[in-house]
Amino acid sequence: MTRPITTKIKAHYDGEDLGASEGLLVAVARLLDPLVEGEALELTTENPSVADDLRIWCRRAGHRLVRAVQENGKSNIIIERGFVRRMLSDPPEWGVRIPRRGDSVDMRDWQVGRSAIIADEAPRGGSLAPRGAPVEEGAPEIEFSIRKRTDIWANSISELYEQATSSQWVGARDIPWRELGPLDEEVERSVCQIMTFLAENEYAALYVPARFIGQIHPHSPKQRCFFRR
Amino acid sequence: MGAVAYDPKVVPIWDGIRGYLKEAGPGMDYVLFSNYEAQVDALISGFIDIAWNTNLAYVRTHRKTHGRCHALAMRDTDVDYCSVIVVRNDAGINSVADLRGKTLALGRRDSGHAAILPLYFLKRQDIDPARDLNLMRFDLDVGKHGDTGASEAAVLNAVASGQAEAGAVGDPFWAKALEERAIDSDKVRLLWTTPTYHHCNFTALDSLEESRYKPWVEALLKMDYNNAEHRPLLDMEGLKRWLPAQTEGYRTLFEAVEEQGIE
Repeated sequence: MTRPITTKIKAHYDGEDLGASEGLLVAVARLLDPLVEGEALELTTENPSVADDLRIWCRRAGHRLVRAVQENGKSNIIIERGFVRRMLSDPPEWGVRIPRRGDSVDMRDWQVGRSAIIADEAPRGGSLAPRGAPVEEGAPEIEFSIRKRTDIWANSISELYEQATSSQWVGARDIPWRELGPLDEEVERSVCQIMTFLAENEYAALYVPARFIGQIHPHSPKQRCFFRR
Repeated sequence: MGAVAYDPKVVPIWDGIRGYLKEAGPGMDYVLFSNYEAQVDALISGFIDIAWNTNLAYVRTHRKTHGRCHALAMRDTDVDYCSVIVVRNDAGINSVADLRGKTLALGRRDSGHAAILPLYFLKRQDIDPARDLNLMRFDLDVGKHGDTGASEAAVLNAVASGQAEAGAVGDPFWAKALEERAIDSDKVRLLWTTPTYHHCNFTALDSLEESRYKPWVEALLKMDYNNAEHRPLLDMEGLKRWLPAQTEGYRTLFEAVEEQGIE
């Protein structure tokens, strides 16, 4: 079962006295990630527990500690990368930017790069990642019943969303509360009844869309935002 | 086959593997047991054909059948398993010899990795548990052979909180704790790792015909961690690939069970 020790050292790291649970494992995992199977990372450390800790961690992570030599209070360790690969659905997309409108950004400009490609039906499973983001395969599936473009798509959704956000009425701010005077009891009762009715409408505007939002696939973010408004 | 229900995730693991094996050809169904002793008895009585056993359950099966059983396959992580002796930094323990006179926290009595084998290997370092150590045992989850990790968590807590100066856990538990940054390295560190040994395996009696288990094992060995459908199952069961069984790594547990008078 013993394979020869690799000499293909492709990365180096000085761990100084950093302990395995103090961030060293994060650094080691990051340095091993871009290597291919069989390539190695050479690491030096002054921390006496690190060689054993790394050997144990390698077993769990699917890598192989092929050498650990201690000399003058320092250890020299070689870790060979294992066969486990990242399984990204697509490579990440870099350099895509949405234009600014003055100091802000606008939903009407969102559709750029891979995110602009809208499938007739959003995929099953695949995490909560937004449209166009590369996801790791094998993630648990989350069921969304609203996945079809024909069920959810509206061309003017960005327009409606921007209108809704810019003209949203806020009772706490928009009512001239100082100017309100006392009312006749009859009118007061009527106003109260109307306010109850309005509150019910506001609640309906919250609860009814909320029941749909949970069903909308993450690849339709604009529709989700619009419902939220 | 039989498996012990030490955690709710046992159901999706074996449901998934059953689905895979059905598609791959040989098929399989599983039965869950609440403890390894019942599973070993069910294997010997012929109620199940194959048992997913801990090392202690394998040794028991072997002893009860006078060796008329064998291991079929195991996880990559079952080979080169070891126990880790952790110590408090302020306990003045710098070598295994310094453990003399100290309190050692151990997991459940029936845990090969968190109790039986650490004591066996310490004895070979000239530490006699009865004479040299004050043992603090965490007897949690009876019959699960330390699978749940509950007693190992208790061991680490006891060392971190100063109830014990040293403790023994299995190396996967220590690796997970390091990865999750659950170890306060100002207080606790690894002192020593035992020689390696084997952990779980699929055990069958010699009376099971080769034609019934061979395709089954071959299909199992083909599971691929770089396959998106297999990965979640393998992750839950804690392996990257299945290996054909190797049994030389059980020798130390056979000796330990004998030495410690474990039934």
